[in-house]
Amino acid sequence: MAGKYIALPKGVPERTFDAAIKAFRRVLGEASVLTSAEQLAPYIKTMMPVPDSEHAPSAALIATTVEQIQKIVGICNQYKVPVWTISTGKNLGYGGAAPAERGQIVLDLKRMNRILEVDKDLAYALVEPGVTYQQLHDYIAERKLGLWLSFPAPSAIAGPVGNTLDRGVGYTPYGEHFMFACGMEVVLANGDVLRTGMGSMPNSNTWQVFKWGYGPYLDGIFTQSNYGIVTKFGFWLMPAPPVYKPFVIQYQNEEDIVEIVETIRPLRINGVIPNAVVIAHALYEAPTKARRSDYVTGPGSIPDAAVRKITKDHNLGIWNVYAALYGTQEQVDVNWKIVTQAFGKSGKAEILTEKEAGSDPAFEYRAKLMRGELTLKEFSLYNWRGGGGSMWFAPVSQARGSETLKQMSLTKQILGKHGLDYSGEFIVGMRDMHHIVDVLYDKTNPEQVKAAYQCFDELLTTFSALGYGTYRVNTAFMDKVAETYGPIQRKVNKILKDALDPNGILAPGKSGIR
Amino acid sequence: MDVNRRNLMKGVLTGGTLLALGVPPGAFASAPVGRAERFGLLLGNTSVDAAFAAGFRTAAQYAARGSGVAVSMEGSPEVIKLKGGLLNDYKIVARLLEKSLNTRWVAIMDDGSAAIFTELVRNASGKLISLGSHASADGASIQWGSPDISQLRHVWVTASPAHSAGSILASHLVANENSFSIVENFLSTQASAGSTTANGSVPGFLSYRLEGSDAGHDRGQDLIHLHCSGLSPSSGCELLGWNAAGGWTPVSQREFTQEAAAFIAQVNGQPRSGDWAESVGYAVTVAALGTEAIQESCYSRAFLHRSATLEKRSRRTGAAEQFTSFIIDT
Repeated sequence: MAGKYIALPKGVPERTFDAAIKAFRRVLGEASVLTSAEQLAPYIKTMMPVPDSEHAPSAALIATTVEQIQKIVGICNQYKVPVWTISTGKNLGYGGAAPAERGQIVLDLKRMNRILEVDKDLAYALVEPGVTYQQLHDYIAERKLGLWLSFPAPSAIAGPVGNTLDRGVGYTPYGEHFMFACGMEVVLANGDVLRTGMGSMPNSNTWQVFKWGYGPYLDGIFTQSNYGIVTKFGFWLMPAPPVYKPFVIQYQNEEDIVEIVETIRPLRINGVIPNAVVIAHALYEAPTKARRSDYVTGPGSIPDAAVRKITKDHNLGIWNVYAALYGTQEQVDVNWKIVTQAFGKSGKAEILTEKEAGSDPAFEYRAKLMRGELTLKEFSLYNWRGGGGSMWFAPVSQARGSETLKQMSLTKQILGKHGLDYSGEFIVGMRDMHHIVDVLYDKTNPEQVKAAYQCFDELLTTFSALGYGTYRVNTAFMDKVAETYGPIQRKVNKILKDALDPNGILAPGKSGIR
Repeated sequence: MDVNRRNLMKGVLTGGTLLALGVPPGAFASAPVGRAERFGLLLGNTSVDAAFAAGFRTAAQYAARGSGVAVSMEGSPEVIKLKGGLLNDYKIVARLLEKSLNTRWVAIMDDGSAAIFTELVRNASGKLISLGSHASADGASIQWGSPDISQLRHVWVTASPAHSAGSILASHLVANENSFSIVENFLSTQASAGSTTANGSVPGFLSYRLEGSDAGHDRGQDLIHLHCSGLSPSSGCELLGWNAAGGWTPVSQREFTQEAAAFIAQVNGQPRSGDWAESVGYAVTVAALGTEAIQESCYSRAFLHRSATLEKRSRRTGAAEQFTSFIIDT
């Protein structure tokens, strides 16, 4: 269309949208309502194997206060235009800042970025959605508060609100982020403002210290959902330990994953290793040090022999287990003895500490992530295949060796069938493993675009048929994943949606909910 | 240089001004760059930085010979080279974007850096004029891979045809390359005032419009144009993975001749390069300057070339190369 907008919301005529835009401008001011192609282009680029135009927004709104957001939802209800809310918008590999559906308006909260409170003694923070990890890190460092953050790979440029609401994970003992969330403020579709947990009680000073409040625990329904717009978010911070000891344990065969997981599980459940351990395949680490084109050329996935050569050339294991110990020197010493004895039994493991591996680029960035130090090094992954294509495939497995080997083998086989590499890792929870695989492909190559889509589709279909659910997915596949969880869950989600957002103005399509 | 800027530059290598690239001051004085008051080049520490910068220089020198609408620019353009790459120097780039107001930047970096750079541009409320993904196939892929994959592939997302680079790049590559594909996706169809917006093309290419797309235009349907050299539009569609329902209507010869004549006159005066990355640098800079001769009012267009001459086939035997280019306004 040659109209003044690059896209329009589904079913909304241009004249109606014009009126809505004028109303938004009265609330936010001209400069905070973006409609030109150049202004919206930074929101559009995705890494998924679908045309970017399918996720083009009609406009972007920059809001900074709760009152503005209340007025915005009022306008959305009046004109029946949907908004897709982002905090920092750093959902890299999951759809980025682009809306789920063409024509939705992006509500960008990046400038709603006040750090409202950081309590050193009770070790919590209360922030607005636009606060980045970098900002909070600097705030804590300037005031010498002695608190550590936990964040995902986008670290510096991402934010705790967006990541936790999508139930993302980090690599410290606080790595299961939503577990450490405590209290939020939400603007509902009707403009009401809800404070969850103890926050609903006026004058409460336990909003950020006691998660559950009274009655149904509502915080969960605002994660991975479209039931409200979170405007304040509380979460716990880890006090800096006196001693931090990162290490990597390398194994040389893919089948060793069984022994690794069986060894780690009791150490995690018993608290000997407190952090979210990562078991990274060589191809996940290789991009920090190697170029794919130096080892393989031509189409197809990388052969095992080439992977083995990469490990030899670049001091990697086929599996690289990154973990850390935290505490006093006495605690660390005791736990280190337990760890080395456990992993030393079979003779297959090579254990390296900072002393042996400190200058290695892969170890260096992992050590940073495990102690809450900001780094973007993991995005070297995008240079592996090049071309800007990436989708996270993220099924969950039991923390059992046999299960992880089964998942890894199946994933590798399906990827290989489509000419793609297995760039995967397992993030170890207490009893579960997040199996995180970066499906990397060249978006300039139409054959790879097609292969990537078919591969991802097949991965989801195959894994769900085996009972392996996906914990998080990009916006092109949300409906498919929602289907795999069965009709009853979808029905309940829909009932909640109809009750909380009868006009469907908040992020239609998120997690397959409309 | 004030303290703030000195701190900003710490960790980067700067050529200071385009004098370091051999571009005289005022080279951009006659370049139409919209509301930008300054111009800059950001090199992200890729293996093709030098070639890209050479193309940038050539375009700037060509522009200095007075091929555009006069818009005054203040100060000297900047060249910034990131010594450690953006993934290490992201704070420097973030500060650069926040502090360099009213500046149009041309940038080149690897794909990992590009993913983060896009985020930083949005953080700084910058405008993304175009983002190009550029890839060359390695020798083995050319020899053993699918013959349907182009040796050089370019995919652009561009705000509007006013800043399209496709036809300039196509005109540079067609003489030297065996096969390439250039796809441009425009977020809006508006070309710049005074540009040649009728359905022109590049010499050597036959132009087509997706059947029904003009009629569909009034009803708000997409406009798609295809320019083919050495292959049919249906083969072209297959190569691109386009599922275009309907057929392709050739652009009328009369229109082609009129616009092509104007374009040929301009293109013949432009300097050429045999280096692929240099050609991209040139085309992106010309697009940044807004001096692209042929702009088409469409949502997507592609240039596809397959040479019938076998001798060119052996030229590209090196490793695959990939990088991303940007034009942004801060």
